[in-house]
Amino acid sequence: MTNFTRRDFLKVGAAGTATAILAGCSQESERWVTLEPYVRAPEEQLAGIPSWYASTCRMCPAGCGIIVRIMNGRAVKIEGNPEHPVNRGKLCARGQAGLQLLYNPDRVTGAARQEERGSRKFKAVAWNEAINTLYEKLSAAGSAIGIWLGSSTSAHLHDLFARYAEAVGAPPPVYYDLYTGLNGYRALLDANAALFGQAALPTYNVARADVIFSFGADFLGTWLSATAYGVEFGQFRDQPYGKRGLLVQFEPKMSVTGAKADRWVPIRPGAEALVAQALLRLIADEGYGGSERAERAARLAGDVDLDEAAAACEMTREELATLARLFAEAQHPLAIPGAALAGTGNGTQAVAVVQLLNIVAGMLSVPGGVQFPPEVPAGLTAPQPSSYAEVQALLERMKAGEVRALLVHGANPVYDLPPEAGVVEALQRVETIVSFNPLVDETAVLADYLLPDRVYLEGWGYTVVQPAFGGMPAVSSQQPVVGPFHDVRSTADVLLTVARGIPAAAAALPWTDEVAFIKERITALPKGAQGGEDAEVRWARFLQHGGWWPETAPGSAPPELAAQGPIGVLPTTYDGDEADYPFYLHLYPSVLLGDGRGASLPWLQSAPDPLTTVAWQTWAEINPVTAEALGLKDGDVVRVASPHGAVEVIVYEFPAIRPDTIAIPVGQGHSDSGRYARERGAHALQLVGAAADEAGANFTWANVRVKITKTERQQALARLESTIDPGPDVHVPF
Amino acid sequence: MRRLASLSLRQRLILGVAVVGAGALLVALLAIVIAQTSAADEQPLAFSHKTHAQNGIQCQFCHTGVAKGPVAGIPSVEKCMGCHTYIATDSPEIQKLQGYWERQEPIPWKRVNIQPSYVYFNHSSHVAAGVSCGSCHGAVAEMTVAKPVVEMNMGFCLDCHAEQENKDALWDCTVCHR
Amino acid sequence: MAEERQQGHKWTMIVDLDKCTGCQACVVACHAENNVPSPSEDEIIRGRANHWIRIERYWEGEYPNVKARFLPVFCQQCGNAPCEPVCPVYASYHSVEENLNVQVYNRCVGTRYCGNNCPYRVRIFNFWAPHFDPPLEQQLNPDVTVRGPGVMEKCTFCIQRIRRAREQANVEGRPLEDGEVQPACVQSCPTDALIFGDKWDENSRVAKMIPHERQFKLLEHLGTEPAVYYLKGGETHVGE
Repeated sequence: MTNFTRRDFLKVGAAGTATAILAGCSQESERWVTLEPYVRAPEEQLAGIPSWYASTCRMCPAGCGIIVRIMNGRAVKIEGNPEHPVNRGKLCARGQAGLQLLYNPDRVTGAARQEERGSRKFKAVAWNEAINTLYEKLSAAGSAIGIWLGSSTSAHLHDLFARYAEAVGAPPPVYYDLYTGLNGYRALLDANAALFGQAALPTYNVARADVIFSFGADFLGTWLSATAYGVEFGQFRDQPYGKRGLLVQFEPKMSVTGAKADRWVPIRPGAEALVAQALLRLIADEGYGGSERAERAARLAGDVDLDEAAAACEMTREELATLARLFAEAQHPLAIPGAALAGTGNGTQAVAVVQLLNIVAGMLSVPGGVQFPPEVPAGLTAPQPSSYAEVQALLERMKAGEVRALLVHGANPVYDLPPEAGVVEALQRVETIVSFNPLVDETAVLADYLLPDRVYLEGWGYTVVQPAFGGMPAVSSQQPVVGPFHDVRSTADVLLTVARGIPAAAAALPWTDEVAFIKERITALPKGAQGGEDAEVRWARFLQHGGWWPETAPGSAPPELAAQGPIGVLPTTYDGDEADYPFYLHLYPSVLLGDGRGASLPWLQSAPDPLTTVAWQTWAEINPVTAEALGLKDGDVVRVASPHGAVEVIVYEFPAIRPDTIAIPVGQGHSDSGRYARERGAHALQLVGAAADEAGANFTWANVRVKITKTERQQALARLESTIDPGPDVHVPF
Repeated sequence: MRRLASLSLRQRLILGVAVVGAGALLVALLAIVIAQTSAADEQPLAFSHKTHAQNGIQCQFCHTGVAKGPVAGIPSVEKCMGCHTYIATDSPEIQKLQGYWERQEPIPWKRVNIQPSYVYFNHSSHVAAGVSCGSCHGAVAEMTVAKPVVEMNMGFCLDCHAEQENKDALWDCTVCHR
Repeated sequence: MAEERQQGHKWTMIVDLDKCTGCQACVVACHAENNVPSPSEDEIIRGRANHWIRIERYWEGEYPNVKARFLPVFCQQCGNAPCEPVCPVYASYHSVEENLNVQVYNRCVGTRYCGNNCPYRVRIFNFWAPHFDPPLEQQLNPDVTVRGPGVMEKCTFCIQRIRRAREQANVEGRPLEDGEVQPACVQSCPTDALIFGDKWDENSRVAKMIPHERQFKLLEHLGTEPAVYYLKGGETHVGE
């Protein structure tokens, strides 16, 4: 790829492939198109005929396989890899918008230095000089370093950083960003560790279930992989058992999953564990679902106030009992503990109690049940998200001046944590901050050096798929589908170069470059579905087919239960007194912007939110009854305040939210991160405190109370709503 | 109509500007028309299709995509050098070519046949249907400098499409416009 | 309604509303495939959101028994299209070969009559020249014309994909197979809510699904004869 310049693929135009923009009637510009064909033509590329390359999506850590359409050297379309076990040819909006990360107008185009932190005045630095500087800083810092990684960091880079940290005697890298926080990864891991003795993320076999109770799991919107679960949901609706299944969604504000549910239960925020406990109690007491299930329930159900549980769901005790019966009597019932649980003070316990419903139903490692990840051979493991306690430990080290150099890759700590976590203050105590991120985000603006990594479409890597969808152990391959668009360098290669000069690290990182490292690890895998006796063939097929996975899912035995009795759940406590702060705050990651990463990409900014149809803005969803009582209407700008902070957002009258709850999506409110994200909307994390939950797994973002005050301002909502008017006499039967 | 003499100075000025403006517009339009139908100006290398054709080289040897996809393609410098490392190495034009190769620089050929961006043409369909290269490109094998001898406008395309057996299918707008 | 097989293909879309989650994967796929510029906040407020496919959201019922319904709307490729007879320059034209309603951009003079006459509100007028902040123009699909200002545009069922596949099949001397052509929206849809094919190909998936017990057409009473079949959401058979 070194032998053609960018001008080549700009200019290799021909009839039918001209990309010139049609302006008025004049084709003069097209008339004098200059052809600059290849100096050496790549064998597999022919002008006008697309080539497809397989790789892995990095817009979230799910590890979906992608195929990228290359026309005349340009990446022009990303689609799902049909062979891939995670997404089976499909791809979500965020995955498709990855192209706009590659071509983002605000990308950092080369190594740069910032004299004064926060000045946003970056001076270009030659890469050799930048790498030398990094070497000097790292060798001087020794073990006094911090490494902060996020969900867009490739597993191979995580591995190399971890090896480096271990070699120089530093604590292991922190892997934590808002995505892992809002998805509740750590609480899910810890809850399963408590129940089964193995900290693993299970998958839920939605496709083969018949009754699904989802507790705040927006698995069709944002939770873990909406694409993988979307594929399963399609199969669920294909009625595998000849009858249409039942999906019951417990959540305070209707999500995408709630919209598709057969029954939407507006549960009081933080009451999920209470209700799950009540369902267990009802199954035990009423003997629903046969003796085996009832006996298990009797053993595992704790004490619970059934009336309080029913009231938390705005239903009668009888209605709650009906739900318990439906669950217990189903052949393939499935309970899914979602992310919202993880943000309460008792998140880990709450997740565990919901999981007990699956244990009671005997739905472990069976079709339609909970599936535990099979082991990936050759010692390849997915990087485990750090607990919030580990994040706090790093911040403490930084505040104590024990971190002389901080390396940030794939995470944006200033945006990813609430202001009270003190990230900005901690950064001030660090001598040298290096950002490897593709954009000047809120953290990079406080960095001393920008050493931009290649974005995933330009770079090497792999993802050990976690959770393992379809029970399939998989390693998804990532390869450059186009040459680097700017003067950017692979962070893994930079690290390997630097490590060579640091005696403590040189032996631990002996690889000449990242490809040598990846190839060594991948060729250690046994023959998979892609075949190949020879290591070279296996490597080639790994890249060609988009990864490694076995021909059939190996299946796994149900895990041994570590928990033999009821699980006590601490009652949810809320920040803010009910008298001063009358509303619950429900934060949720935006379907399109995710944890905020999508805000830099115009395709995602301009696509309407599924439920509100609003784009480009931050709104507060308020029940119309509440809005009327407060004298609010659509388009009013309100100030939402909690004991921790305040934001100004636009009122959206939303009929599918509890009247005592206000919902705000997370994703906007960037001060940097490029032109499409900057100075737009509000960052709802400002309303949240930085306290850890009872297990230290997460900061508590789901137990905050707020108040609303009207401002004098109004802002029209940028929304589509519905425009088709069938007329008063016509019933549209959907 | 008032006579010119009866107009005020200001009116005469406006009229003058209008006339000059209209004239300029006409010239500009004419220029575009000429630009669209005239040959490309000088190419970076004095490449002769005739010489190559006389030596028995088939069109597809260099325009490799012509039967495979929409675009016929222009050969890479490497392809030229495949022969010209040995052939006619003392010719000044070939030395120019070698210069591009040594600098690893693509040759900035000027396009000869151009369609507007809303027209989609597929070479392979025409090759598969047995249309000869010369039907649209003229006797390129006789040309020292390739020129757009055939005016490839919509009428030209439709005249031929109308004569085909599946005329109805070939008259569909979506055949070329998408 | 019995339909006679005629020349060419009868491209048909089925939208299973029971599966559509409103996730917007199709919307972004369409912007990427068809070089549709991203509408700004201001343009959306002015009602000029230029999506070729949009997902309408309807509320049904009252809290707490409220339901949200998603309805993907795009050009219905009407057999009897209201947009066609009103075009003074025949830019809104019925392709006999593909049985699609197509827009010939280089003919369009921007009267917007077609948009006014379309009951589905799926035709989009380019008020401005398309703009892509450099280097975002690199993302443009070279198979699709970038429409200039003053031109009407709309969903084409990804005619560029249809034509590319047909031309390839022709060159290889074989018939087009069912599933060989998938518009970008269909390709991306995680839940398989969108199904596309040639209804006149008896072996196609769409031909086998139609007629369907849950089928209806959008604003069917207007007699526009859409080529899009919607399958309404089902009701649960479990308990209660």
